[in-house]
Amino acid sequence: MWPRTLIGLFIGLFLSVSLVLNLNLLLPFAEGTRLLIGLILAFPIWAGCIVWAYAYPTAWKSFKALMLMFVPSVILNTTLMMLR
Amino acid sequence: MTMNNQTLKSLTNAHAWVGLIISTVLFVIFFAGAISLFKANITSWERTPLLIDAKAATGTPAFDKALATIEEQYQVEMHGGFFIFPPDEHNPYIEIGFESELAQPDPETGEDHEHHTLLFDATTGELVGDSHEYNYAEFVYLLHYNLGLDRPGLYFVGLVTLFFFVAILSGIVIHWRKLFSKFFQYRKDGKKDKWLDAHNLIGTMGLPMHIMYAFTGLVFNLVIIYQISYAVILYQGNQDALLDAAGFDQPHLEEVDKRMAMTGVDEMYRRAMATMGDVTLERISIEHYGDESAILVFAATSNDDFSLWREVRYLMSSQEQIYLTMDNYDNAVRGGLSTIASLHFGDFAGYGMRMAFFLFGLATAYLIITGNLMWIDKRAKQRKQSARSLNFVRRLTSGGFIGIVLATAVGFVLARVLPIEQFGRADLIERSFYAVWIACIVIAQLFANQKLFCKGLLGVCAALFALVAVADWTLLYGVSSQLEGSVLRDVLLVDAILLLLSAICVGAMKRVYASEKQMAPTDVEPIASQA
Repeated sequence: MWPRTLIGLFIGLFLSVSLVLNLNLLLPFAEGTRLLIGLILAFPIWAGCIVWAYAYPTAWKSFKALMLMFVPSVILNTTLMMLR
Repeated sequence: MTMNNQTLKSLTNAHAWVGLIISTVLFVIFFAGAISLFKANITSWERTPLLIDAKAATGTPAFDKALATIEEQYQVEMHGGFFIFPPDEHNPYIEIGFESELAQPDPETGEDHEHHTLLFDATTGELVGDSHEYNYAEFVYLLHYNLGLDRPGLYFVGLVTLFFFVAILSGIVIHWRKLFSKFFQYRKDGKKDKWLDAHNLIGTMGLPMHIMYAFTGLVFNLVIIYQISYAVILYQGNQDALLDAAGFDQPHLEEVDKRMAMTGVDEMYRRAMATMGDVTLERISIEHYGDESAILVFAATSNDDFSLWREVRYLMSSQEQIYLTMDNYDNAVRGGLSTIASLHFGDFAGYGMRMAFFLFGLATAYLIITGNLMWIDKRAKQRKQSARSLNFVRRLTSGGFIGIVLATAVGFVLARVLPIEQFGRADLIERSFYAVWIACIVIAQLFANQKLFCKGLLGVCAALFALVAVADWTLLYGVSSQLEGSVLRDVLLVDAILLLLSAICVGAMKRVYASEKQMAPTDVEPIASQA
């Protein structure tokens, strides 16, 4: 259980930061509103990622599932940051 | 086994495991949090011997006189925070928190300054006493949000709250298919089903509240993680730029290092109250206390709107108004944070709402216990389960959970019986609290008959809670009979809560007795408690 916990905790944290960052860069709202949306969504995404990690029977499968979401999200982060 | 069933099995195991790991700390968080909803009332209750002689200030409280008293007696540390809490319905005194410089660093800690939280007469500005010495409710509140362990405790509680959120989300997924069809199911006969149904019932009925508490608690304790992430990635490491965008952009001045007397607060208080309209003044603060650059800040909440903060700032040297917001700092993040705080504290709809939050907090504490009991019950049936580890969890559940209730009850007793003028009473209460809790945890591990242990502990808890409430109107009638107005209401309210806690302990004790009669004797040690 511990390996899946750590995968969910750390990759989940990075994934939540990455997803919320994408939203911040994409949404057409005022700066304060975008920050608030990020604040509201970040923690549920993080907790959701940990649950997602637990949904798989092995740590390796959890890792693959989360990375499958994390890598494209980081690529989008990088693209959006460069276009900014 | 289909993929769905495999996922469900993985999540069910994770739900039970996460719940068990965080259960003891989460129980402390919810139990202390429920009591902390009445923090101001408990503080007023504890200070009744002091409040009998207190006279409420008519008109403007004597802030300037109180500051003059501080100037006479302390060397205020200019770089520390300086906070003034005006008198309110629970507290007739001016309360001021600040730091003073020490002539020599503390030989033990090496600190060169000392924190103070002092009470001043609202009419004469004279020093009444040290607020920290009679503030048991503050200690319980600290337990709620940082376990009394300062910043590390804050983050640890945040981490536990994150896994509470995980337990909620995994619980929803596990229970989803039965969420509506078994919504009103509560099988009170039959041991396992009763716990499972109680767990599901409280979990389902209280779901919006659980999500709200988990989310808002996370924001309070762990927002720093996203704050740093945002500052580094989105604002190229510029923390100030992020804070500005989040509405923390009120005017600040550089210190000029020229001494100036801190006066004129009374006059600026009158102007601030006239400017902000129908508000409750929450706090006054002074930035750069004693310096020519000092700024006087009045922060208040609107009496007519939900969770709306207003703030006005004056330059103390010229008494010129330099900032005003009438609407949550005119910023979405500040407005959102204000709403999050109001939801968490339940401070927006009077005592009815607060009592509902209180009962809900206790119900969640019960939910945590039922989770542990189900885990123990399930594991007890598994042949491969180590008896030693099962006994450890069983006894930790008894000692840790009921122990915190007993420690709280002992704290209430001491807060009432220790003389208000006794030096070091706060330390004595805090040490007694921890001693009782640790003793319960240790003794539980050594006690073979857990049923007897639970019954005894719950009985003592019930007796102590009731004793304090009854003593207020018997042994201490001389003091209580002199109370009136809001102080009398606070005492009655706290006594009612103590009697309620006592009744809950009696109810829990009865369930232990009832389960004992129902259960046939087995070789396996009985379940810790049904409390």
